[in-house]
Amino acid sequence: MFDLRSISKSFGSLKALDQLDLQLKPKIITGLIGPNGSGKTTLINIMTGIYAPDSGSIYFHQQNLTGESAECFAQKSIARTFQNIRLFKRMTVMENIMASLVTKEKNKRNNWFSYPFTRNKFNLNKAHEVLEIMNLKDQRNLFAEELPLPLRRKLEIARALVAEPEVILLDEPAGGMTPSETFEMAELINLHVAPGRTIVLIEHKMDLISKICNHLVVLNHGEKIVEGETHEVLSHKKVLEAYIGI
Amino acid sequence: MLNDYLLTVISNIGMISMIAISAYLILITGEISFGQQAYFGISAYAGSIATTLWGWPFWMALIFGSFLAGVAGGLISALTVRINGIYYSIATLAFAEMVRLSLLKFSYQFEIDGEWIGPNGSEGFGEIRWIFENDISILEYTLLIYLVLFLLIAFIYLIEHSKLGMIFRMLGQDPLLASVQGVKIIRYKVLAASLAGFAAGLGGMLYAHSFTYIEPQIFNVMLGVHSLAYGLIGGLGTVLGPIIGVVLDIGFLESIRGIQGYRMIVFGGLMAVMLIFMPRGILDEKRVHRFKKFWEGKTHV
Repeated sequence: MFDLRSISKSFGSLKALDQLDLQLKPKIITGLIGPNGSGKTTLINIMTGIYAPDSGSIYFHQQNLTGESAECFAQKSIARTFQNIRLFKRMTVMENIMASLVTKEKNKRNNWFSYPFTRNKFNLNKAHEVLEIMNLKDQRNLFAEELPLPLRRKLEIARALVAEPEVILLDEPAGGMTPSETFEMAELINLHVAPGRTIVLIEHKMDLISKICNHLVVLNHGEKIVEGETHEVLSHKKVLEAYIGI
Repeated sequence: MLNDYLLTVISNIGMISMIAISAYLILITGEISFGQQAYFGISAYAGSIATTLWGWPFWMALIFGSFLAGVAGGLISALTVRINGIYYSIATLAFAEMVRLSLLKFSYQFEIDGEWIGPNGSEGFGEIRWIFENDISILEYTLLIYLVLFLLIAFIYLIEHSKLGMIFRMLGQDPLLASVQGVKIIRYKVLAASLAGFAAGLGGMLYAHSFTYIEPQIFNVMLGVHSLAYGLIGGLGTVLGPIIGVVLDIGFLESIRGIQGYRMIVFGGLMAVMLIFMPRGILDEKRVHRFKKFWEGKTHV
């Protein structure tokens, strides 16, 4: 489904990605690991249209999306979260979730002047469902900037989830969390985010990776060094050298 | 009974509220425009030419002038859509000055009843006599201004509570995030700027017919700075915010006789205090939300 062919991307003299090939396996969680600066976030930015690759091509369901805008990627049912959390800070939790539905055309009444948008029953029901799943119901009237970090991370995922995307790219969803919060996040991803979806998960926490990822891709210096089943990759010699440093 | 001075102040509040709403629309989409006075001026001239020289009906001229201002707003936005922050602000200021300087050279006069009438560069454009020719009293014209203002507020209120309003606020808070949600940034920025141009245009055309004389100097940068300040003082959480700003400045500060001559100093000080203690104004997003919740008397959305 998601097929990246010979992707290269440089920032000045820094080569972030070098002739990278990646074919995502549908409906499983693919972990994307590698040392800092290995090109993981650049790859996700390319997979969501934030950056255009310098060379190579991106296919999604055989459709060439190379050079398309982020808006176009979003409309192809590809959602994401960010390493540095991005929320609409001066909107409430509920509004942040509803904001994800503005460009979705599934509801016929969801036109420009569907008044009032945030009272639209179709959207509200979907938002309430996601709030329930992510345990954010009690915070729905708080502003996003008032939330503690773990809840902000959850809200990012809730926002991605409500649009019912086919692919979700999670960039360090447990970043900055305590072990118990990380455990809760792993449960949420396993039970509510992953089923029926294709997930790409960037993470540094190996316990989270080994717990929920079926497949693993390891990057180093912008190149894919190993790819395979999680347990095999984690014990691969190249991974231990490049990633763990032994 | 309202005296003429009071009516003039009230009608001024109404007309300036329209350019304040215009600047507010740009502010909520995340940019600071120092150039909304250009659209106010474009519509003032175009609408006045339409009624005075071409003999168009008032309402048609009002729509014509505002539409022209809206088109100009959209065009400038399309040209500047790839720049933001201070660069956008400077570009809008430069455009507004370009319009003002062009109006200083603009001459378009007809001979009517043996008299040359129409815009004539720095001499301005007088004899905009629609009020007198139609025997409209100051009170009637004030009511007309407030009818237009009411319609404008109702329109913006509808937008704010619609999908479009949500998109404008998404753009204002995080355009990158908005784009990964599928929002076509350029389309909506241009749309917001066109609406803002139209809103300023309504005020400009009404202003010209209220004072019966306009000159390019009226549409200088200070008008743009004030229109921005009204939103920042009154608040960016609702369309009523900029109107509160206008009422505070024109209605309150101008009416205190004791500070006449010092009004700008007091206004500048007020602005500085507001930016420090209430950077999103009196009616910011949080207060508006809490007020709504209080009004609804329930906790669930």
